[in-house]
Amino acid sequence: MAAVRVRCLVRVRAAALAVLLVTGACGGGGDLDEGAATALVARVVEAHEGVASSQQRMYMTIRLDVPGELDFSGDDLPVATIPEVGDLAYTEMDLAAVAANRRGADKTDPELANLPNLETIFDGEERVYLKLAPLLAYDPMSRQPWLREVAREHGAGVEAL
Amino acid sequence: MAYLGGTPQTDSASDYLAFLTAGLLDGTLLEVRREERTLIAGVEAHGYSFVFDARTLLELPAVVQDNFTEHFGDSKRPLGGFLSRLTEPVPIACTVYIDEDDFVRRFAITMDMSDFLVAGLEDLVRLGEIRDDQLQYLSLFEAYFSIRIDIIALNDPALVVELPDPALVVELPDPAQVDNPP
Repeated sequence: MAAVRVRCLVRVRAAALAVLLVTGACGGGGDLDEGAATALVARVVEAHEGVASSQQRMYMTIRLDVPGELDFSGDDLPVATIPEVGDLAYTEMDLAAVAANRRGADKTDPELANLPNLETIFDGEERVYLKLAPLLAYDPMSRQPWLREVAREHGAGVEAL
Repeated sequence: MAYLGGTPQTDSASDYLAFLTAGLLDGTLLEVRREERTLIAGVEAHGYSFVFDARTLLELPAVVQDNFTEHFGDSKRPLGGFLSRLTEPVPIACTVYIDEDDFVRRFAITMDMSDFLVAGLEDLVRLGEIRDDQLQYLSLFEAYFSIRIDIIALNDPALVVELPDPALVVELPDPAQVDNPP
């Protein structure tokens, strides 16, 4: 049983960022006044106590330059969407989209499209689930024997591969 | 800080908060500035940017050190030995935007990891895990990484999280129990 230590993603992120504001102020951060930052932090934390649901979108920018290899680059690529209602949160990361959008990529290359989507569901403070369906769709089994075993145990249709 | 863009199961919010609340060492905070107001999903927000020196990860509180070591390192070797050999700051930029109702609307983190990676590779040469000529090649790597999270809806009654078919789902093991079975 996974012990999820975060009850609400948005709320905890807000708290962490609020502390960041104060540390910035305390660290002599230019025009960031410590008193004003502390007051802002209190307001941010209080505001987020009332958050019952949220929708988050994650973007990634990556530039990986390896001599002699194709650059792996992409700007502001949408990689994940995270709806969250109460104690239930769902994350879908689309790694295939990142590969397909990279600069200079051959978008017809099946190897690029073989990167799996990852979907996880956070249910309250106690359970984390991995959804297998998108992984099966991208056929990662030949490289992931452990996943083949998991899929077989849960009847996820591995025999169709 | 990666948990901010990751999952709560693999990262530790409490460790992150411990890091921040432990106070910053001299020289950790390289720059703080206000950002211009901007629209995020149609909502106006004002921003603050903070630039940290990643080399100060050497001085992380013990609780965070343990967490890093558990996931990435050899417990017999102290974390971040290679970082001490970096002579120039390794900046990590964090930006947060807050709207008029005091809701966080955006968080972004940016890091040029090139020097960071090369320093780590030099450690592998010392350990004999890669050859020096390989290092010469690998040290030409350039790596830049940025993640931005926008909160595009808050308290929207139309939002739903649909649970999938249980047949297509597995429960992830607790890493602590895998390492230390009862």
